[in-house]
Amino acid sequence: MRRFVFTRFILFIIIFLIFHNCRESNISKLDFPIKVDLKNTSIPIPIKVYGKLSSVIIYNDLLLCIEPFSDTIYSVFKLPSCSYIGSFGTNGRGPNEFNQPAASNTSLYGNGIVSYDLSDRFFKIDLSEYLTNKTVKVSNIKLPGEISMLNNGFMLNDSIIIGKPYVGGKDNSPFIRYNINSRKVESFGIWPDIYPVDREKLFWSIYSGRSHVKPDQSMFATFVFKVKMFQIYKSNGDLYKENIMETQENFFENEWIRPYPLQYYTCVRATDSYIYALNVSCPGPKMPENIPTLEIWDWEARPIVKISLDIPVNQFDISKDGKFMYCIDWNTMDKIFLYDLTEILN
Amino acid sequence: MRTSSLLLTVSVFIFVILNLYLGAKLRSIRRDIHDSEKQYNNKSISDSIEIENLRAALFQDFWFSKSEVTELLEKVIFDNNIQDGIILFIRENQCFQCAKSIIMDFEILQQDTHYQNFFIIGDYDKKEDFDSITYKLDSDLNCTKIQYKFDFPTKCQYPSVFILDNDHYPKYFFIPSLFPKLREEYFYNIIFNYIKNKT
Repeated sequence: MRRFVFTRFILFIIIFLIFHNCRESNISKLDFPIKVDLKNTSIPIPIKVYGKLSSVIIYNDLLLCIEPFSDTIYSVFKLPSCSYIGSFGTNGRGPNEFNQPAASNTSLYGNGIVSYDLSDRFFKIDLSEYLTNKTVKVSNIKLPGEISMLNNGFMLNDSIIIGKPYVGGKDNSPFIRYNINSRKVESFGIWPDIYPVDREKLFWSIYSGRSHVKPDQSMFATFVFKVKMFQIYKSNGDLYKENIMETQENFFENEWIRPYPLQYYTCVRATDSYIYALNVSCPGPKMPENIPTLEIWDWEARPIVKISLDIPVNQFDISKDGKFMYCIDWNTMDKIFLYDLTEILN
Repeated sequence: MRTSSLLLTVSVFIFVILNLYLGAKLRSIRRDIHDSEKQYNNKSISDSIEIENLRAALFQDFWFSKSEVTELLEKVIFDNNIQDGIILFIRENQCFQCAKSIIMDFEILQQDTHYQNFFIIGDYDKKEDFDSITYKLDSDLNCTKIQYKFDFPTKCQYPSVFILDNDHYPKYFFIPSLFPKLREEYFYNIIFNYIKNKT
């Protein structure tokens, strides 16, 4: 009996020491209550999807295919049939021209879309009259030099928000906000507590990702490329929710991140009810043959549905009612692919 | 006998565990010391670069105030009956993105005040190199671009900004990339008010 007590005591000490020496982990294993496989339906279009840096975005019943390196950048399709109705926007340096706009970071705002280009120009494209007279209005927003080198930029209410890196930031925060009306620049946000502070100079690279604003403009979510995690911020800049689900083994090689680390989230879209995130979980060069999953989360950061897709989806958007997912893949130039989410979300 | 052998076993166990524990702690302390040492070295390298940049900046400010340089600036800038100007001074191999970010602030100032006397002065050997940089800057700023070989005696990584007023002496010399916290104050208070008083 006494030996049993001693053995238990020693086991307790061993377990205590093991736990004591382990770094407190903030990684949570979250499981999706619904997991489904979905088959796509392909819709033929004229050859309009050329490159790997393309993206799609839906504004009301228009689907825009964005080709930053093409002569004509924006091709417009009418939903739900995906019939091609026209194109606009050329690459150049003159008025109403663009210098390779960031397709994947284009987002909805007001009566159209908002994006930025390689010349650090933030611009709005008003699409409200496109269906009636095939014209768009482009307006540029001048930005202060403090937020040059735009990355993961988007508009939220009356502010432009940029993710790191940017030149000359006031402190080491993940986001910087420029209020268009008050002209104030302030940084905000909290770096996730995963890697030690001596890796601080790498933080912007480790935690860079894609953001998407909730359509009612009350929050935004940022999904990270190289760590399987996301953060949800309120519009005032307060961190509301954070889910860290997975980190990579052997992530660092000497002082830098190893070549071709795993990439997780590459495209994020949202409705007022849900956030839709494309999770590829593979190194960059493998993406064209990798078949990703679509994760659906609510704005409380709770997992809802995990959908296994059946083609190597590159970018996607969700129809306004949240029922259909329109996407382009890595290899097809003349089709848009459609997934019906009606049953799943019901 | 049994109790003493049991005590001995327990002591050996505790000793082994303590040994493991202390070994792990020692390793972690060693790692911390190594990291701190590395951080210290990195910090001293970045500090010395910053000191070198500050030294170059001070010297540059002083150099611009020399009479022969002000005469040169007068000749280069004020030929066209221009009485004052805001200058971005950029040299070969300086931080391009820093120059771009200064131009972005100039664009906002021009949009708000309609002030036209912005200059980009390039201390470049060849005009083609300077033209290539200004082309890449791809800006909407309405400004005058001047290339001139100044034979500047110090090296600073970052482009600078200053005002040339009626007296043709440089004022408010500033290197935004060295003092990012003062950037907003400099462009949108000091320079903005200067322009407002001029127009």
